[in-house]
Amino acid sequence: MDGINLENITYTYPGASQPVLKGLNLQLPRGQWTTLIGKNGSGKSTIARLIDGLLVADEGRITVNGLPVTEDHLTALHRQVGIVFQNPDNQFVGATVADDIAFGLENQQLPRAEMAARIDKALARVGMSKLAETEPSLLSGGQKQRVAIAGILALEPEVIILDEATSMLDPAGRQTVLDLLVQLRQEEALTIVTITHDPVEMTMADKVVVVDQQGIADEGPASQILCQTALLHRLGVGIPVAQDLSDRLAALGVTVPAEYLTTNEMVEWLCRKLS
Amino acid sequence: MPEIKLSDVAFAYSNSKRSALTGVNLTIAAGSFTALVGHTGSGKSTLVSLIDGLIRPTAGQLTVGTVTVGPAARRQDLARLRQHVGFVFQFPEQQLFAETVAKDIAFGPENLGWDPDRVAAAVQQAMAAVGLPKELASRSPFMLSGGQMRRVAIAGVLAMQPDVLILDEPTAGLDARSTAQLLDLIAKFHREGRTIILITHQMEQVARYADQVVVMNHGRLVTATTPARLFADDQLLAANQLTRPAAVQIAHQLRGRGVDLPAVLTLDQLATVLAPRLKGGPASD
Repeated sequence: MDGINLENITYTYPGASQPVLKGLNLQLPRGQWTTLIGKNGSGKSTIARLIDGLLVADEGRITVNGLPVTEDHLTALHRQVGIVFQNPDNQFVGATVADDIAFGLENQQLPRAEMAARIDKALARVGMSKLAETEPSLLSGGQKQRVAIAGILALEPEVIILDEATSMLDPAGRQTVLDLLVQLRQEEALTIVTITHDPVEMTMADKVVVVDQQGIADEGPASQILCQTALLHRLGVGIPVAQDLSDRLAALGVTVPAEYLTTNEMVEWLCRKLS
Repeated sequence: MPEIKLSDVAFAYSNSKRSALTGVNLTIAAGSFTALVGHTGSGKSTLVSLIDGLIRPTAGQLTVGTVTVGPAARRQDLARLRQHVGFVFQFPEQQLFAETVAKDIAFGPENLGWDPDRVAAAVQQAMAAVGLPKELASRSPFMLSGGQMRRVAIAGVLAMQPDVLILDEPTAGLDARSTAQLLDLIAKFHREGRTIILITHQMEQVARYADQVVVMNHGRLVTATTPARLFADDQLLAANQLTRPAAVQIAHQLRGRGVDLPAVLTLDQLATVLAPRLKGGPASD
């Protein structure tokens, strides 16, 4: 079966008294961008690690494009699934950007020429070709995360997971990474999974999944989730600007639209009311 | 409470020909809230490292309260600067090291040579100030959430009771709730009389909290002004790759569509200005 399927998943961290996920069911369609949101400790990152086989579920079954996530399939799985983590400084091993990408490819026993070609292609796709011979520590945060993404792209994966990968970046760095994801989604059938607290990032995904109380509390398009202000507050997700303004107006006695509006839609609505 | 004054301050790293800072003149009033903005590499971190006495100017002079340092400053002079100043680095939780929260927070005060009773009192006070429950004192800092770990790191700086608190991107990487709590906390430190210097990329934070904003670009101080003046100056914003805060942006778009609006900095102010007109209009009568 296509896409990522989690069936009846239960996972308890060693030493914890309660499972973090209990009987969770979730389908992430192939070629779609899904965003997981939830409080710290809700199990979002646990889901990412279960999909990649970094953690093994106590109960239940996971498949990635038909491949069962079990110990026997880890090598094949790691070829299909790549994760970019939060801290750009903790994921480098190579002395240069190109070396770092080569490191991930070495496990695949590719011919040298093929390896070089894949490195070039991956760096070109993230816009980092000119910095191939640079020492990773000299890069900005956004550049580091793009190199981390290139390292995954070089493995030609089916699935790329970004676990709060933009949260430590400055606004300019964050934007370059998000632009890259939009471009990758258009170019090929990559399944993208992001974990974020950022409402703007949520609006870029095809689907938002709310992870809460050991399972999935809600899922749907961003517009359906982002108008639930009380839920967003509880989850620690930022309130989108237009929604924030709308809530403040409502508190002052203004009748506001019930549905989620983007900032531009909000401006349109205000202009209509004020003219 | 000390005033901070920089006169023609320059700084060049010894392994680089290019100056990290050139000709900086700046006064930061005692008890003020100054935001420091500019893109990565503009000289913001170098500027605050000078104020904290981590490095000495290669030209000009810098005064914090009664302590003045210049290119010939001795180590002891720099150390005296540091008695006034607490510096919360970026991602400060990465520097936690002790086996308990209390021991980690006590490290700074112990290094100042305080007696054990004074250290213990300072630790307790700092934990209360950042809203860490007492029972966490004996816990490992590494078992806490990201937001709590950052509070422990900030408590470690506060425990030394600095008059001036420098924070470098203190909310980076935190979720929305932890961000709001931490900003409330910084505002409280400011109300209590401390001078706050906040390095940030978040223009919302500048608009909401700062009474002075310093714009840095390529090692030079572009301007030291008020948030209201900065965010009204489109050219200045564009030249320094700064964005408008959300409320300023929406007000700008509305004005472009012929809606007459006074200057606003925050969504709260914008809502307050708009609400009477939205309620009082003929449509809702």
